[in-house]
Amino acid sequence: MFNLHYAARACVALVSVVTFALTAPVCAQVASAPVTAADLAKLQESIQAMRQLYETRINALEQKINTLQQQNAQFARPPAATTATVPLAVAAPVVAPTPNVAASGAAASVASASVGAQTAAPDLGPNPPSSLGRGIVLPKIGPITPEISLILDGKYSAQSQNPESVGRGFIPSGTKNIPRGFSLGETELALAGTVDNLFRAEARLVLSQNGQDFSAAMEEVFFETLGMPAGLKIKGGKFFSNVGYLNNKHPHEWDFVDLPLVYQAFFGGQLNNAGAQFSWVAPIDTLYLKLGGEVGQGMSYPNGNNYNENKPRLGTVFAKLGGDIGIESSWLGGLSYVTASTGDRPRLSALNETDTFDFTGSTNVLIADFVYKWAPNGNANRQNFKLQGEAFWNTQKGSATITSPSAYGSCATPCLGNAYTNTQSGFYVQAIYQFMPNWRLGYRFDQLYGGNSAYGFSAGTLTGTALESYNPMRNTVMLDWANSEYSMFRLQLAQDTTYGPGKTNNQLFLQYVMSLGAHGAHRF
Amino acid sequence: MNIFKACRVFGLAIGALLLLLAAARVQAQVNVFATVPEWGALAEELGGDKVKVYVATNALQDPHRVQARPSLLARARGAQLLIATGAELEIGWLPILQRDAGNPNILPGQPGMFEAAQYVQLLGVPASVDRSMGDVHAAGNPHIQTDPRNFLPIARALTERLMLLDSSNGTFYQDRLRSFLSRWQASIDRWGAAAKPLQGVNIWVQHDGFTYLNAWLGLTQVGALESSPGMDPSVAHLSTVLQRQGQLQGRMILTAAYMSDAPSKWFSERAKVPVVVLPFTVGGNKEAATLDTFFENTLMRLLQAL
Repeated sequence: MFNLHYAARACVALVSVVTFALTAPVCAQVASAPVTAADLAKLQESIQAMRQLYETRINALEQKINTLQQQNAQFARPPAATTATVPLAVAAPVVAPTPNVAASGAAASVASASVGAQTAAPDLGPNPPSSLGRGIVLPKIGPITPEISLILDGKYSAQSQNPESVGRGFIPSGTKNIPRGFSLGETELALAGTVDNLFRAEARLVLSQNGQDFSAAMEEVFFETLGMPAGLKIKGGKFFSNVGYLNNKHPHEWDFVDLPLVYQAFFGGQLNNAGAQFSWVAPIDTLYLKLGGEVGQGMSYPNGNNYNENKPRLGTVFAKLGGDIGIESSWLGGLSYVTASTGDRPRLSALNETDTFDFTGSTNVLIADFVYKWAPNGNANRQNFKLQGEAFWNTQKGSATITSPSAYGSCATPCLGNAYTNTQSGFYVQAIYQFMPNWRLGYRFDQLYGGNSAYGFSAGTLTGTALESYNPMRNTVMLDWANSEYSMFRLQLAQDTTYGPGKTNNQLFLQYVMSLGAHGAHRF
Repeated sequence: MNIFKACRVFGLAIGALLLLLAAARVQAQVNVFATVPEWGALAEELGGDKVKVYVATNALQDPHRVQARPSLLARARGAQLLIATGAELEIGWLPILQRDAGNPNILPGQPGMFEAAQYVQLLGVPASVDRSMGDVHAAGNPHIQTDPRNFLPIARALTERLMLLDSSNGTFYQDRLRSFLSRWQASIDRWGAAAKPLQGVNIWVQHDGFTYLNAWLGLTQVGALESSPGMDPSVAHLSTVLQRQGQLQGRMILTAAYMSDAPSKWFSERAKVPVVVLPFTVGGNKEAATLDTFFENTLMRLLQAL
């Protein structure tokens, strides 16, 4: 990264420092660089001018501090919030009075040191943070470190089919459907903040209803780098993969109560694994381009249970491209590729109430996604529109074992090692329109293509099981009302055919989402 | 597809682009990313042709609620200096840019991150903060751009920052600062004299965003139409505000270009007082195209409503 430009700056800086010392002979040596006496005089003059500027400003500030201190003494001190912020305002205009500011651009260390003093100044409350003593300024992204937020999510649902039924056309992915009646969604407790000047960390603890019980799980626990140069970032821990558009959005950010069918069928929800992510943002001013990849252990669908194995069995690569169209529209598109394998630990799933289907092999998913947002004058407060869609192509190659009380066709029980190869696909498209402040209306269309899941059997053998050849679809409408960014109520109606021919599920959902605590900054 | 092979190709591509990047850094102009138009205009004023300014929002957008759009991430990626208001104004979107743009220059505490609100005395610091009060800012009111006097310390601090980042043009920035300060001070004096008739005039505001304007011109804010900051008032709430008008006698309603005009219009028709739509920042209307005309237009509109 050291280039001509820096070299030139370093040289100028060096010269100015030397002038400060007023050592003429040394100056003559340095002067082999093309610096004229006129330049030096100019520099001296500017340093002199700066010194004067600072002195007058420091005097003015001292005066201001005195008057403010007197004013403060007159006020009976109100509780916490004001006492913390008043000194902030007083100290605010203090700027590093280092006389060699001109030189400080030369070495990054000097620059950050003097700016450290500068930005640290507003924090000098009654008790300066101990970090100042070590000379490190902690970057604060967000108001408090760690930021704490709690998100509540609850539902009422009425459905014409039992949501615990097995779907048709796909290997059961373990996705959890919303139960009938009153239930709680995810109650999410999130802690996030900067660790030090290089790292940021986030932990999201989720309490969710699991049948009649409630269980706690770590939804996301990860660290990420902040200070990597050249647009690079590394993330490690357990996190939502960056593939697709909706995959890394938390449930309270969804526009509908539930996930699109493609996510449910091919990822069993959202792709979330322990592992590492590497990404890079391209240095292009006018277009957003991000490339990245992930390696994950692979402990849930479409993997088997790859726990306690040396080899991680999930890999992804993704590319995102985005930009603006005028001031009113913006867009983001992406292509992602996921490769997962079960290793020698088959993916266990139920074919129906009595039979199991254990798949061993690899799953590859290609995802294309786009989102387009529009708001009049780019001001989304009153009205805005969002069009979004994703398409998945899912290829599974391997073999499977069916265990059942009675034999399937010519296959004995257990039915061992028949090849299972299938290409499936699906997509969803949704549009959300905020037609007046606080009110949004949305429609979503889902379609899945089950491909040929026959497992080498003659047609119809698997009818009535999860692998019955089938193409489910769903129509969903929703209306939501948000009193503020922190509270939202939603009504959703859907007609869903995932449970098979003649088992159309008519659904009604009522949902609330309440957010407490830190102001969550949301991604696009 | 072999994922490891893909990674290798990916790595090579990155290497090549890094070289391009290194080459691109030998450039004359400082890349400035301003969150709101006023700081973009100030940076251009102080940096002249030595800076290249990108402004993330326009005057018709609510700076509280901007999305961290892909285009903003792309611009933030290459910024050498990010100028924000601070005081939590951009809290809903700036942290995403700092986190995801992959640019360590603009992290808090770095020379490339400049928060204007740190250099002025904030007004309207709440004694306690609770969400039931709406979108309040614990650090104080962030709409500091409505008082031209605030631009003096901010211009000084911004010049210092530019000199730190681009030391080879130190004298250039100092000269620009000197001429800006003298011209701006003269303008403040002139505006102050012209605004004498506004002293002590009772006003309503739609959103509590004019604290600094009031402090500058001596306007007396009798109340806000919004029941709580950032939330559109209901008709019921407006009716109770209207009842208080009889006693408080506000002479005009101030609102900003980016806000909905419905509450002000409703109130104006019933209370028979004019609505003054202020530009609120540079570009808020056709006339307010520069820092100077922004304040001139603000004053003109206020004086016309008397």
